[in-house]
Parts: sequence; structure tokens; C-alpha cells
Amino acid sequence: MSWNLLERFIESEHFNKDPSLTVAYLARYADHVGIHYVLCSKLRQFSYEEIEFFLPQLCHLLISIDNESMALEEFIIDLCEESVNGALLTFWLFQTYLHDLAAQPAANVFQTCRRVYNRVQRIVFGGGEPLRREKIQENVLPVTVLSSLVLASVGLPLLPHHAGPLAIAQARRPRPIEEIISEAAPETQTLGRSATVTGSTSTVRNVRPSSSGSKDPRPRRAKRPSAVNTNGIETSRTQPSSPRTEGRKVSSSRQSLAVTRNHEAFVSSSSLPDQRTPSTPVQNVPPSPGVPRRPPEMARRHSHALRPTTPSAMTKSQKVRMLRQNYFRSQTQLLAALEGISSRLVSVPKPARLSALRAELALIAQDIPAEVDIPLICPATLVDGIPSRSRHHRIVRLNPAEATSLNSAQKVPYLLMLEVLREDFDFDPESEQNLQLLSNLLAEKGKPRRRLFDTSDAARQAAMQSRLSEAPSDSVLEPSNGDLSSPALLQDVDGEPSKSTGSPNIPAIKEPPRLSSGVSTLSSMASLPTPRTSEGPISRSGSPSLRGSPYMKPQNPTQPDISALADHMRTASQMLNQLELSTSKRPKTEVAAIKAKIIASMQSLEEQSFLNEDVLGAPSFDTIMARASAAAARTEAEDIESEDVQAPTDPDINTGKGAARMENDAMTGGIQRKVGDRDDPSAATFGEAWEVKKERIRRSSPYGWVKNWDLISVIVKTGDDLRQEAFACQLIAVCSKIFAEHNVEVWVKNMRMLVTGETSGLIETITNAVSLHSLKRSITLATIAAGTNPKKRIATLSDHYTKTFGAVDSPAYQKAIDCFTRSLAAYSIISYILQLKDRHNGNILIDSDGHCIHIDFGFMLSNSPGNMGFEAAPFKLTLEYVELLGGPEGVHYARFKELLKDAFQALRREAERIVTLVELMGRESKMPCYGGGLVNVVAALRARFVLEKSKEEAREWVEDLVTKSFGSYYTRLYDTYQYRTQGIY
Amino acid sequence: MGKSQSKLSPQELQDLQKATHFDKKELQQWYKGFHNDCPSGLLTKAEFQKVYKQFFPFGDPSTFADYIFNVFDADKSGTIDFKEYICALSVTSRGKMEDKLDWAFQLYDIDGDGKITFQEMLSIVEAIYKLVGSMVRLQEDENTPEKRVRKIFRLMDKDENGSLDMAEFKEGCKRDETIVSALSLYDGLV
Repeated sequence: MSWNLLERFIESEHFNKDPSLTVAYLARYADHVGIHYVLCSKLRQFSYEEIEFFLPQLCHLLISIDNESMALEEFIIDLCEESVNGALLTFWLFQTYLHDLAAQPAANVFQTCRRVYNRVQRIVFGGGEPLRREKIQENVLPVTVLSSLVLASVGLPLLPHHAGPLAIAQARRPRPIEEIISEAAPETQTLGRSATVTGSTSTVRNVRPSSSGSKDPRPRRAKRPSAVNTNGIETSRTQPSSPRTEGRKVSSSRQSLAVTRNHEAFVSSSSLPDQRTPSTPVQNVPPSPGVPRRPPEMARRHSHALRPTTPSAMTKSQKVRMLRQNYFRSQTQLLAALEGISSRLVSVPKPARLSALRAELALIAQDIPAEVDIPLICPATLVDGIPSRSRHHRIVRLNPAEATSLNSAQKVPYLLMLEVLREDFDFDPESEQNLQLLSNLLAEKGKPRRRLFDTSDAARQAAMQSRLSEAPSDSVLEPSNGDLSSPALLQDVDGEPSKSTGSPNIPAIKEPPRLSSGVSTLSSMASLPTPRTSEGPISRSGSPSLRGSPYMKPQNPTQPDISALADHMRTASQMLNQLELSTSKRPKTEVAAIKAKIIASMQSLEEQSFLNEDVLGAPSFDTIMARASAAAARTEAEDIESEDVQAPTDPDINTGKGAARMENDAMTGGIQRKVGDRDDPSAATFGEAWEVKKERIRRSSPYGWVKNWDLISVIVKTGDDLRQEAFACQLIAVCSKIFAEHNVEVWVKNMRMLVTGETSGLIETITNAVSLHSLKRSITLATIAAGTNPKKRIATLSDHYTKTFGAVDSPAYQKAIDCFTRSLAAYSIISYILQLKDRHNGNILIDSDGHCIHIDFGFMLSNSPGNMGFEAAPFKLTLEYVELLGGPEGVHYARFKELLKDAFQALRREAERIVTLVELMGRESKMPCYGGGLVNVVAALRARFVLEKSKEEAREWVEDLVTKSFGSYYTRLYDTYQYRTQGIY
Repeated sequence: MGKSQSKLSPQELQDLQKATHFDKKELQQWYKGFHNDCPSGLLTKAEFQKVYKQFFPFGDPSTFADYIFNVFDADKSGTIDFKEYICALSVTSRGKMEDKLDWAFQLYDIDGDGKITFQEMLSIVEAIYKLVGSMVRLQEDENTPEKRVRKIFRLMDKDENGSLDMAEFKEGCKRDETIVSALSLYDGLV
């Protein structure tokens, strides 16, 4: 069989336009080692950004295809060694796969998954010693090729360079398990769900260094090849690794995948020549900015250098590695801490969540600024497109007072505002900033390393201990009755001493350290860092040198001792929980009273701690400015709003869910974002426009004056698997690219999600948008309150547009309608193609330009809420949409249909890109959208493109879709259903 | 698979230890791998061809694979047994430069007369170029087999008699850094 045609196609311009065809062909030719290799070489020619976009697919291919080729694995490992963000994203993705596959540890996929995970983990947490040094295995045929390449060296020295990496990678391929069994240590066979990979991600990441008093009695330097957990996943999260020792036998080096490695050796090994430095002649690095192909490794010897104690004694590559390690460590700890909070808040009663959230965040804020950013959502800049030369935004401030917990019954996502300085840190080993950082890191070496962003009880208590002597013995909670700090209350509640409650948190309240709240703490605390002076921001803005010890991170002078505060908050939460449990024993009213008291004290404590700066301290000038600037984008309903939350106008309507959305609107102050959860609220009004909010925060920030200051807002979420949501966003982004390529003037919002675990992640927020539900509800309530709506008619979209943008014939209104038309066309056709369901008005946002934006993709392709088939229309096209477009005869409506047809035609021409993505991700998928079965899902998806029809026929087809959708009985039914059952307008 | 086949006899082991750079344990490990991948205990030409086809889908590796097979097949039996295989592996992975060049000479000296003629070198280089196909972009001065062979001969054929003897071959290869580094392709990996 000849592959000439395929070869010509692979070399064609069309094939190399973007990585999607390469990705698709990797799946199609999975069984052809050579073709896989060529395709992976192609991947290296794309930019990092292009590869990152398809990273979920590439990782999924590794997991879902059991093939001979090692090329893709090598590509991904190279990518991880090249790009810090590539490594982190891959690491998190594989963490989710390990979780998925843990139930079948004997399967080949699990073995592959574990191997890749361990390799990536070693890059992230280990020494970063290139894994390329792995010995080859007894793969007879690939080794034959390898031998012959040596012989051919004379004839064409380029041949070993070209085919060598392929042959070496294949020769390294691990041998089948059956063969290893006789050799392997018994523990690698007792494969079970390991503690490292089970449960929530916080469990995974909370593995602390043994120095923090955990149960691990192993001396840190002990080198124990048997330190393997049951299914062979390295647990050395915080322990860097050693290189393989020279004398290690082939078989043991394979098993050593699961060996905990030694830290000292890592440092010495990192003195190995770095192949990426220019000093080593790199022969065939492609000129493109993709992942450079490494030269086939030549013999390298370990040079056992002494452990350096100053940066000047380190080689360039050692420095880079240490800088990367520091970033990986800080970054993973930050995200683990943020997600940990979300998980813990679940057990906190709703009214107390905000207070508890802010107290916990204050603990984290202590360690900021640090070398941390938010990957993917706020991507790093790549200097000259080179992935290893990434410049990252630095998170410099996390203001707990700006954080908001979002209402949701079982889960507690929260909104977080992060102040960042763009392009503020990198991994340049020679920059002054990094040399200073390295000295600090070297100085910390050997000492027990403190975990950053530590919100654990142990750390909190340690912080308490250290302040014991200085802390005045006066309760934080004294001002609000003192019941919280009194152990007597607890005893009272439980009828037994708190000691026996079994909760680790309870004894904390018996500890003497009690701090005065608010201002008095400030004055009485000798240990508090000095308040910021004018040079404060300068010193911290870019140079870690002035940050000094990480133990002395800048603290907000207006905050009291936050660890004590967090402690009290937790105690209070605990007590609330206990109250819940003990409710049977005591009268309801009494419980309610105690509860109210505790919550009130938490809130007052929180207010005193955090709000004085922004609410009390900030001049009303800000507020005035905010109101003035936001005027265009807001409705006047604000005040009425908050009252009406408690007082639904129609008692027949179950307003539960709808009201919750409103409540959150008020809290988030108009910063709208998407949350991949039906329960998630959307905001009510354009309360405080994003730019206004940003300006307000900038003003109050000590970093605000720095040129590259920026504000990003994200939602931290745990408890839900965000992978399908992220996949939906990716599919929508592909559609968006297709529209752009074909010059279809429709508009789509690209959203990004960072998946960090099987039940955790960060979601980019959508600024300046409000859910249609909230808009309609607030206008309705406002008009009723104003007496202009005696019939209690539910407001329509048109009401909002005239109210917000002005008269129908005004330019502002026309512009807004244009935005709406273009976005509606895009989302309509996307909804049809992807079968986006659950399209109630809480999941559709309207932004301040008039665009509509769809959020929440829990249901698509084949699943729908309750699988009831309520939403049978091709897409949502309600009467009020059409009314807004000027009616069925209007110009906007005609334009909408034209755009819809053009958009459909563009998607039809690129249908394969979408179909292959869906097909690829559906193999062995756990995503609910494949519930209908992969074959059916793909067939139905393909059918929706009506590829058999001509261009003209397809336009008629769209016309039919519009007719079916327009005022669909089903759409109305669904909206009515949502209104009746959930209070969603 | 009989028991006798799945393990090397003590005598075989001893002989191989002498003939190769491998120790007992390594030999046993490789023997096991060899038997897993070639259950018959012999590596045939067909299998050989197949793996090259797999690795070089866009080229025509058949001629090259034939030449290589003949070098591996020391006793010219038409198949490669474990001993032949492991000796080849030993030289190419752990052998000294001299040994590798001795071995490589066999590939290029097709008729085994101790000299590499221009034509012999051209045959091998043509086979290599066919193997590679168009996937590798070659420099202008060696983008055809003829150019490449002329370049090799300019470098190595000191007496300009149109053929290379072993000494010229070894000398010339050692002088070319790209060849030297390519010869060490997987040193230290086995």
C-alpha cells in the first residue's frame, strides 16, 4: 500500500492551516507508528497557543487510544518541558483521567495514564531532570531499526537525526504488563484506588511536606525505591526527584516510574547540559515557533556538582529549573487553597458563607504577591512565540472584601477579584529580579518549607501559636455578645464538653489567643507589619527582592490578624453545624436564636475586618463616580430589587431559584459571569459596570498606579465536573473561528475555563452582562412598584433595550439591536448544531452592548434536562426576540435570517472539524453529553449539517428551522415551566 | 513455547557474555523480549520489512531493509537468530567507535571484498534516500545520492582510487563530526 496521497495531503497548505486536521488524523492513523510520528512532527510546527487549544484532545487521544506509537506521548512530554503552562494544564487533565480510570487499574489505559501522569508530575514537582535518559526496553523490532540507523550514519548522517527520535521512543515503549510481572516489585501489582487520586482534588494536593508534622515518618532524604503507593502513582508532590542512578538495571528503571526520588540528587543532576541552551548545537530545530524538536540525545554523563548555595554557582539550566519549580509549587498550592475554600464552604450555613469565605481568603492573601497567575484564562505572553520564554502576569493582591460567594444549594462557587501586574515575571535565569528570587529560594533550602497559601488547620494554629505571646487576651467576638468565644455555649449546645465532639476545629476556641477585633487589633498588635507607605507599591510591583521573607508578606493595614479571624470564623461555622445536628434536642426557636446570633457576630466581625476600607474608608466620591459612569448601563431598579427579593409579588410563583439569582446579582454588583451550573445565579442589573468597578479597585489598591496593573475576575468552583463545559466552550470557539474565516459577521463570546481536577476549576467571568431572567424580573418588579404596570405584565426584551439604549430610532438603540441580531444568529445556529439545551432565560445573558451570550452547557448533543425533550425546537426563537428584531417583516429579522444562513453555510463547509472533535472526545468518554452513545451522537450531529443538500437547499433548510423555532410551542412551554417551577422569568 | 526455548542454556549464556557487552541478566532479559516479539525464535525477513514499512510510511524502505538484513544475518541463513541479533545490538549500542565502524563497513562493502567501491556506496545511499522519501529536506550539496556519494568520497578517498578500504573508511568517518555523533545515536540508552 502506498501512502503517497496521504503524504501529499499532509504536506498541503490546507492540512497545515491549524492543528485540527492533524489532531483528527492522529486518531485516524493511530495504528501506524510512522504516520503518527510524522503527524506529531507536524504538531511541532504550530504555535504554542494553537497546540494549547487542542491540548484536551491530544491528552484524550493518549488515553482513549491504545496503540503502539509513542510519538504523541513524547510530544506532550516535550511540550510540558518546554512550557510551564502546558505542563500544568496537562498535569491537571491527567489528574482527572486518573480519577476516571482508577476503577480499572489493570487496564492498559490506566497504565498509560499513570505513566504519563508520573512523567508530567516529575516535570512539575520533581527535579525536572529530562526523562529522555530512560533506558530502552527489549522492543526487538524498534531496536533493530535503531541499530540500522547507526549503520546508515555514514551514508546519511541526517537519517539518525530524522528517524532516531522515533526509533528511540518506540524502543523505550514499556513492555506489556505480563512480561514485567515476574520482575516487578509486588506492590506495583496491588493496584487500587490510591489516596492520591481519589476523592476531591484538595485531598490530592494537600499532601504536605513531612516537616509540617504529618504522619509520614520518612526522613526527607531517604531514598526508598519502595516508597510507592499502591497503584504506583508517585506521591512525591512536594519532594523533588533524583535522576536515575547509573547502575540501575533496565527492569528496575522501568519500575522506578513509581519511585519517590531524592531531592539532593536533583540539584546535582540539573547540572547536566541543557539541550535547549544554545551552547549545545541543535541541528534540526524548526524555524517555526512550535515545540522544537530536540536532537536525539547523545551520551551524557552525570556530573556530580556540589549543591550550589548562591545563584552565581548555578548553571543557567539549574536556575531555570529552580524558577520553574517555584512557580509550579506556588501555583498548584494557590489553586488547591482556593478550591479547598469552595469545598469547605459547603458545610457552612448559607448566611455565614460570605463571612467565612472572606476570612479564609484573607489567609491566602497573606502570601500574595507571589509567582502565581491564572493560566489559560489570563494567558502568559510568549516572547517571540517561544513557549519557554513565557512572561506571566503576577497576582499582586487578592482583596477578600471583593469576593462573593454565589448562591447554590449543594456547592459554593465564589467570585474572586484578582489584581495582577501583566507580564511581571518570567523564567529568565539572568534577570536581576529572578536572581534575587533564587537567592531567597536557596536561603530557604534545607529549612522546612512552609506551604504557601496554607489554609489548613495546622498552619492556622501554627500562626496562632506564634502570636500567643503578643496577642491581647480579649475576644474578637466579645463586642457581639461573646457567646462565640465561650466554650460554655458549645457545651450547652451539645450537652457535653466540646473536647469530645471529635471535631479538630473545636478545641481551637479553647485556646487562649483572642484578638480584639477591628481597629483595636491594629493598634495593639506589635507584630503587625507596618502599614503601607508610599514606596510600598514600588517595592512590590515588580521586584521580589523587597518582598523579603515570605513570612512577612504585606498585609492590609486595615485588617486585623487574619489568621485569628479565620480561626474564629471557622469555629463559628463549626458551631453552626453542630447546632444543625443538635436541633432535635432543643426548641426550634432557641436554635434559631443562637444561630442568628452566631451569624450576626460572624457578619459583624467580617464587616469590621474587611469592609472598613471599601465601605467606610472609601470616600463617597467613588460611589458617586460609579453611579455616574454606570448610568447608561444600569436600570434604576436597584433599590426596589433588594426589597423585592424578600417580597415576591405573586405568591403563586415559586420564586426560589429565580430569587436566588437576583440575590447574587445584588452581591456581585453587576459583574456577570458564567457558571456551569443550573443552580447558579445570574445578576440582576448592570449594577456596577466592570470598568467602574475596576477603576474603584484600582484607586484603592497600592498597586493601582503601576502601568501594567489589571483586574481579572474568576469564579472558583468545586463539586462539578467542568470538562464538558470546557469542551462546549471549545466547540463554540471553533465555530467562532469558522465564522471569522468565512467572514460571516456574527458575534460569539469566547469563554475560557481552566479545568484543574475532575470536580474543580476556574471559570472566566463575563463582565458587563446580566441574565435575561434578571433583566426581565427587575424591570417587571420596577414597573409594578412604580405603578406603571397595573396588570403585572412580565417585561419583555424590548422594554430593556428601549430603557437601556434609548428610543428605537436612536443610533445607540440601532447599534444595540445590530449586536443582538448578530449574536442571536450565531448562538441560534450553534444551539441547533450542538443541541444546546436548558436554554431558559437564566442561561442567556445580555451584555451592555446588547449582545446575547449563552452560558451553562450541562446539556448538549444528546442529553437534556430530565431527558424530557421539552425543548424540541431547533433553537430558541421567542416571540419577544422577533419583536425586538422589529417583527417578522422587519429589516433586522431579515438580516438575522441572512446571517443565520451564512453562518450555517460556513459551518457546513467546515463540518468535519466539528464532527471530528466531537467524535474524538467521545471515545471512552464519561461526559454526559455522550449519553446517547457515541455512534448515535456523531451520526445525529453529522445529519444536522444536512451535507447532502446543496447550498441553496441548505438555505431553505434554515428557513424551515426558523419557522419551526419561531414561537415554538415547546420553547414557550419550557419558559413557562421554568417560570412556574423555578421562578425564572 | 517450550521451556528449553524460553531460556538460554548456561553455555550459550557464557558464550554470549564473551561475545557481547552484556551481562548475564541483561542477556536473559533481552532473550525473553526476543522470544516475546519473535515467538519462533527467529526474526524473518518479512517481519524485518514490515517494521521498516511501518516506521517509514512515506518512503520505500525495502531495499534498505534487505541490505541491513544481510548485515544482521551473519551466517546468511536467511533468518536472524538471537545470537546474531544481540551481537548487532551490542556493537551498535555499546561498542567502541572502531567496532561500530568495522560493522558499518560490512553494510557498504556489499560484495565483501574488503573495499567499498563508488558503486557500492551509491547503492546503499540510494537505498537510504528511498527510505527517507521526501520527508527530510536535504542540503543542496547532497540532495541526490550521487552528490552525497561524491561528497563522501571527497572526504574519505585519500588515494583517489575510486574505492575505500577499511582504513580510509574509518579515518574519514572519524573526521566527520556529523557521522561520529550519528554513530552514537543511542549510546547509554541500552
